[in-house]
Amino acid sequence: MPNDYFENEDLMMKRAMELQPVLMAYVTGMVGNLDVAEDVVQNGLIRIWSKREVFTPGKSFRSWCFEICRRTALEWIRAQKRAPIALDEETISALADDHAACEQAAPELFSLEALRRCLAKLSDRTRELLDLKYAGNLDCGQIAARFGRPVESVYVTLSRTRAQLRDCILKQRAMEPLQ
Amino acid sequence: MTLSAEQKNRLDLLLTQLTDGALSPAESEELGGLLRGNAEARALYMQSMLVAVRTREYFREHAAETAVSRRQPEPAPRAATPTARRRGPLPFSAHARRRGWRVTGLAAAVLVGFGIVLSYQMSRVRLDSAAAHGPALATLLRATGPVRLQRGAQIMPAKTRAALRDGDRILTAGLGSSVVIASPAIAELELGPGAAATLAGEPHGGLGGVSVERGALRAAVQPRKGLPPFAVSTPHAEVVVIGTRFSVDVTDAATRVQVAEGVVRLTVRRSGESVALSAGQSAEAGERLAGAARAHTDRYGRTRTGLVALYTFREGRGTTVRDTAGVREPLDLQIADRNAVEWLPGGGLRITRPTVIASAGPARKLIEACRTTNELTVEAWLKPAIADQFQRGAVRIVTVSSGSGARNFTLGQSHASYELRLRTSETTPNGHPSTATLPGTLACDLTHVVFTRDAAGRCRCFLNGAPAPIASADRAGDQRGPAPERTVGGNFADWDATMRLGLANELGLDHLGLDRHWFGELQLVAVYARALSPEEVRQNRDAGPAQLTAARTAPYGP
Repeated sequence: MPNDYFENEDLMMKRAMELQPVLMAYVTGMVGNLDVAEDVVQNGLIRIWSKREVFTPGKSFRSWCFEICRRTALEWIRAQKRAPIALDEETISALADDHAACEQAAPELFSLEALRRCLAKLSDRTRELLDLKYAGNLDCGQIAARFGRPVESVYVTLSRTRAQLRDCILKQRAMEPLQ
Repeated sequence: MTLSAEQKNRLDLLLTQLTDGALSPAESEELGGLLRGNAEARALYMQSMLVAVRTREYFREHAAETAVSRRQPEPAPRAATPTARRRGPLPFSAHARRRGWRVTGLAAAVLVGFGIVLSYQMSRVRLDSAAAHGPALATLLRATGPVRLQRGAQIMPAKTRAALRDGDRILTAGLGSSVVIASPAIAELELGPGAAATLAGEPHGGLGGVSVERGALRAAVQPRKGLPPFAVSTPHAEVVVIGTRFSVDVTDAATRVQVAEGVVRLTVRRSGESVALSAGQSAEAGERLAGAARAHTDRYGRTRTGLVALYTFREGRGTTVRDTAGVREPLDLQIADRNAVEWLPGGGLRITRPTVIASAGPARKLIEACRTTNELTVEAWLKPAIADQFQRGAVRIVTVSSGSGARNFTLGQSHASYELRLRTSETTPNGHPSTATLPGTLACDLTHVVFTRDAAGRCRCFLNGAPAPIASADRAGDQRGPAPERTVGGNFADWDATMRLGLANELGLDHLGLDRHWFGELQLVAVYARALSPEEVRQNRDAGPAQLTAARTAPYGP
C-alpha cells in the first residue's frame, strides 16, 4: 500500500482529480448507473476537498478517497430508499482493497487519446451504437428497439465492444514508441 | 486463478448490464461471486468500467459531431436521465475552434460602438444580484474536481447539466479544478482553479455577463448580432466584448486580459483608462493600465507581440537564468549543476555536462497563454556541440514537460535534425507524431531555430530565417515529406498546467533511469503564445542573439 505525502493542497487535489475516473468506475458498481456515479463522485470530491486537512500523511490517499466516495454512494443509496445496490458491500470492499486491480486501471493508461485511436478501428455501426448509448443516453432496450434487434444481442455487442476497446488500449500501451 | 475465455465473456456481459442498471439479483450475486473470488476478475472490472467511463466522456464531448446518427426518429429517452447534453454544445476549445469565428474584420465597427455601449452595459448587467432566481441562463457543461454552486444562501455541489440562473456563483477549488459553462449561441466560459464568478442575466433573458472575483476565465463569446455587448466585471476592470475569444486572469492586485481573436475593450475602474485590445494583445489593469501601451518590438527590433518568456543568458554568473520578457511574473530558471555549464563572455551559456536548467514551479503563464490562443512559437539561438545527439529519443533543448513520456511541447535534437513535439487533442501526450526537419539539416554552427504552430494547426520550421523543409514521423517512426509545412490538428485544451519549463534536458528520468541531456550553447530562448509570421521570424533573425546587438551591461527587455 503506498504511503502518500503531499507538498501542498494543490498537489493533493490534483491527485484526487487524477483518480476521478477510477472513482467513477468503482462507484458505478455500487449505484449501477454512470450518470449517478458522476454526481456521487462530484459530491465525494467536494468532501475530499473540505476534509483535505484531515488526511493523515503517510496513509494511502487512494484508499482514503475510495472510502469517502464509498460513504457518499451509500448515503445516496439510502436516500433513494428503493434503489437496489448493484453489488453487495463485501464485493465493493474487495474491489476497494484490491490495489493491484486499481493499478492496472490507471487513468493515464486509459486516456481519452488512447481510446480515440481504438475507437477509430471500430465499424461505423458499432460507433453509432456507442453514440446512442453514451451521448444519446439510450438504454439497451431503446437501442434494441431502434435497431430492431433483441435486447440481449445489444448487450452482447456492447460487452464485446468494450472488451475490444480495453484490449486495444492495453495492446497499444505495450507498443508505445521509444521516448 | 486465471479466468477462462468463457468466464471473461460472461463477466463482460454482466458488467455491461450493470452499467445499464439491468442486473437481476441473481446476476448481481453471480457477478459478486466472480469479483470476490478472483483477482483477475477485479482487474477486468476496473479496466472495463474505466473504458465505460472514458467512452461516455468521449462521446459526450463529441456529441455535436456525432449527432447525425441520432437525428433519426428515436424513442423517448429515460425520464430519469437528463438529455440536455445530447445536442449540447461542444466543450470550450473544440466548440470555439469549429465555430471558426472571424470577427477581426469587424474591429473598426466594434471600436466605434464601444464608447456608446460601455456606459449602458455597466448599468445593465446586474452582477450583484446574488439572490435572483430567474430562468436558466446557461448550463454547467463540465465540472472537473470539486466545484460548488452558490444560489442565494445555499451552497451545493455543482453538478453536470445543472441549469444556472442569474446571480448563481460558481466556486472552483485548487489546482486542476475547473468548470465549463455554456449558454448556447451566446458564450462558453471556462473557469480555472481557485476561481469565483457570478453569472448575470440581461433584461431580455440570456447570459449577459459574468463577474469574476478571482481566478482565470477563458471565454468564447459568439458575435452579438445587435445584442448589447457581453461584459466581464472584475474588482479592477470592466471588459466589454462583442464577439471574440479571450482570457481574464484575476489576482488580488490586478486583472490581466489576453485576446486570442477579435477585439475587446478593457477599462480600468480606478483610473478610468481604457484600451482596445485585438488578437495577440494583452494588458493588465491594476491601479492603472499596464502592458497594452508597450511597443510591439523591443529596442533590438525583436517582435514582442505574444511574447511570454525570454532568456538571453546575459547573467554571466550564478545559477539563475532570468526571464526578461517582462510579461506577468518572471519564469526564472535554475541551473541544477553549476559545474556542468560555462557562462560565455558577453552572453550565452555553454552546457558541457548533463544537467537541467528548469523553473522551480509550473510554467503557468506560458501554458495559460498558449491554451488561450492554441498557438505557439519556440525560438532559440543555439550552437549544438555534437551534430548527432540522441538518447533513446530526441535530446531536449527547450521543454515544457513532466518526464520522458508526457509533455506540452519540446524542441529537441534528434540525430542531425531539429524536432518539435507538440501535445494537442489530436497527438499523444508525448507529442507524437512530431514535426522534424530533414535529417542532416543540423550543423554545429550558431543557428537561429524557430518552430511555429498556428491555431489552424499549421506547423512550420525556420532555420536562420529561412523556411526549412520538414519531415513528419508517425508513431511507427516512418518519415514522410519533405514538405514546407505540416498540419498538427487539435487544440491545447489538454495541456498540463503543472508542467515546468526546462532547458538542455528532460525534466526527470525515464523508467530506465536515463535522461535526455543536450550539449551545446544557448544564446537566446523565447516562447510566444502566437505563431510568428515568416516576416517576424526574419525580423528576429536580423536582430541577432542579444550578445551581438546589445550593449554588454544593458538589461535586455522592452
